[in-house]
Amino acid sequence: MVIVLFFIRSYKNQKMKRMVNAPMAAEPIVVFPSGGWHGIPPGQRSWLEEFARKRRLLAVADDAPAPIEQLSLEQLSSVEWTSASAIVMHPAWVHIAVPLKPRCLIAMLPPPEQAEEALWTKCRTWLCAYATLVVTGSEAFYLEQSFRRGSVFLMDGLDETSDLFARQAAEWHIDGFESDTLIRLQQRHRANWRNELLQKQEHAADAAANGYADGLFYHSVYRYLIGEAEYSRKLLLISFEQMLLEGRGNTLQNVYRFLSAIELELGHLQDAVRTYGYTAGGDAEWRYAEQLTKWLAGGKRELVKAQLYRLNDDYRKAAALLEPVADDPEARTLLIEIYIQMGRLHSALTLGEAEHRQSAGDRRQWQHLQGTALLLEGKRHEAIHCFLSAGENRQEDLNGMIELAVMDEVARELTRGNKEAN
Amino acid sequence: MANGLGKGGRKKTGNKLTAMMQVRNEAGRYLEAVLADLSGFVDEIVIVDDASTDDTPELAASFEKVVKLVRNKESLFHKEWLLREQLWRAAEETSPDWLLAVDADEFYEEYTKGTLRELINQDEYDTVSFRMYDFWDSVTHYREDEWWNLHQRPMMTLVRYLPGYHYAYPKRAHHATRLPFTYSAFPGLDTELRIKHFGWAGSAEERRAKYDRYMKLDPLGQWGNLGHYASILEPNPRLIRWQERDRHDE
Repeated sequence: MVIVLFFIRSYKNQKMKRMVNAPMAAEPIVVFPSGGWHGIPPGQRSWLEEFARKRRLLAVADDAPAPIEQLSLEQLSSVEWTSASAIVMHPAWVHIAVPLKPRCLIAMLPPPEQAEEALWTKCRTWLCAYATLVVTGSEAFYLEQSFRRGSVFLMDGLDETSDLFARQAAEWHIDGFESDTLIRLQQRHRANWRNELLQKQEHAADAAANGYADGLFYHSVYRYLIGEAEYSRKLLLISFEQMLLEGRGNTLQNVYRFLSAIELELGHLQDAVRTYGYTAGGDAEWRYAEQLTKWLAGGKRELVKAQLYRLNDDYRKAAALLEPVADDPEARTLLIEIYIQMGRLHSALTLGEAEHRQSAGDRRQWQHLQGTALLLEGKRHEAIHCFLSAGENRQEDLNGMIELAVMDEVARELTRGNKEAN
Repeated sequence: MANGLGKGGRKKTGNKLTAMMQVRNEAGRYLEAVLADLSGFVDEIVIVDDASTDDTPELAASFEKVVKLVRNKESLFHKEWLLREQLWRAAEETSPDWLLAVDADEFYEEYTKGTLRELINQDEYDTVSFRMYDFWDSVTHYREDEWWNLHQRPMMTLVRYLPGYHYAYPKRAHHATRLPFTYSAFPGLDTELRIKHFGWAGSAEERRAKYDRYMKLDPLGQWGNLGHYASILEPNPRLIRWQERDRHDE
């Protein structure tokens, strides 16, 4: 731990470049809580209270204790956002926090609920896509986000060193520094932590009950993230075997398919296509498998790779492959879909045109996206106009309007103390 | 698919059917009949001979459809999973489409044989399970009781070979599964089609010898059930006369 702290401090002092030059203490931090100040989980709350000792901290909460300044929704426009940082702790804030364009936007979200409403899943995706930094307490969500963007940190309270990296990253971002080095450090540290945990579990009598097979899978994903593809492959296959021995279902789709992403990393493109084909189930996936085979036969290797990364939820690698070839119509279409899945609505809309949508349903969906993108830019009236024109006379297409009303109401509730939203 | 393949690149027509079998000192038993029978309905046969001391390898090699015969100098019988893996690797080297895992005392019912091409030339499922009947004391009756009821549940013996897939066997010294357990991830077809197992159809002395061998190899019941072993010596087991099925029974 001491060594880690030393490394973090010395690295910051010697190498980091400040992104914005401004006096730190004067730059306010605004917290958008998840149910008043006291609705913030204790660990995070005490960390924020630490902040309040050395910086100006405000909270959109009616129960924030001094020296934290209470801020109402109506007072948000009075903040100098070009120098302020925002810490957003619930997805329902997305349409309020993102349009403010804070200098630094940190999404610090609670883990998704088991059966989270579709609206909050969308808001969560959008918020994370627009955030400068994402910090989460859920390992599954952390890994999901790591496949969508950089600057993602896990702070789950299970591993002190890992949490330290996340806190440090947040502080660096607030101070105007980047955190790329910390990401790699946390991923590597977390991989080693997983390994140690697995070694302890390996000989336990009830390894299955302790989630040994899942631990192997997570460890495999970490090794993939830090570029150790061969190690990742070995772990994945052991995890797959273990899950089959435990009688788990859907292991081809949920676990084995990831081998195709690893095979891409190893440079085995044909193997990756074949592996995906073995795991495909249902009409849509069989069509993907067929398309991959056709593209491969036609020499469209970048498209094959991008699609395979996408089918393994690694949107980040897929987008990176497609962005340089976005002039190609097939690549552009795929890239638009990927941007939408990543929550990067503005990027998707920049590439696509509504008139290219083939069906009326597709065109309405596109208008919904336009409306949401406008909302996140702070153009509320234009967004409403877009939602209304997408809906026309069809009640079921007025979802954008209904969702906006729900988001407004929930955001207002989130400012209130002693009250859990949702 | 454009290249004539089916779902996920699976071959829907013209599939080659390869039987694979591990043998040891089977020359004086059912091996010749089994190979003659298999030669009538499979395309190729792959055999691993586990250090036989009789004429088993020569007998196997005399069949035209035996395209690969691997001969072990030393037996792997005490590490059965290694023997299974060895047979699997040998079969892989012959580029099979479908593999039928057969023991040297098993016969597919005529009706079952007639359905095999239909079962393999499709792209919906990758494994097929059958019903294995343990014949007892004769080739006219099978045994059915608390310990002998394998035919009441499906048993996977026919699988599509998927190149590059991860194949693994559990490390069992005895009674190892005859096919990689990682096939359980794939969609499979359970059928009522029947296989006749003649391993127990011989004399009481032969069964006694098998019992003694099991007790020597596995005295604590680590790899099998001691009650099951003991039931081999049951003097009056429940036997049911076998009725051969034909197409008209469906």
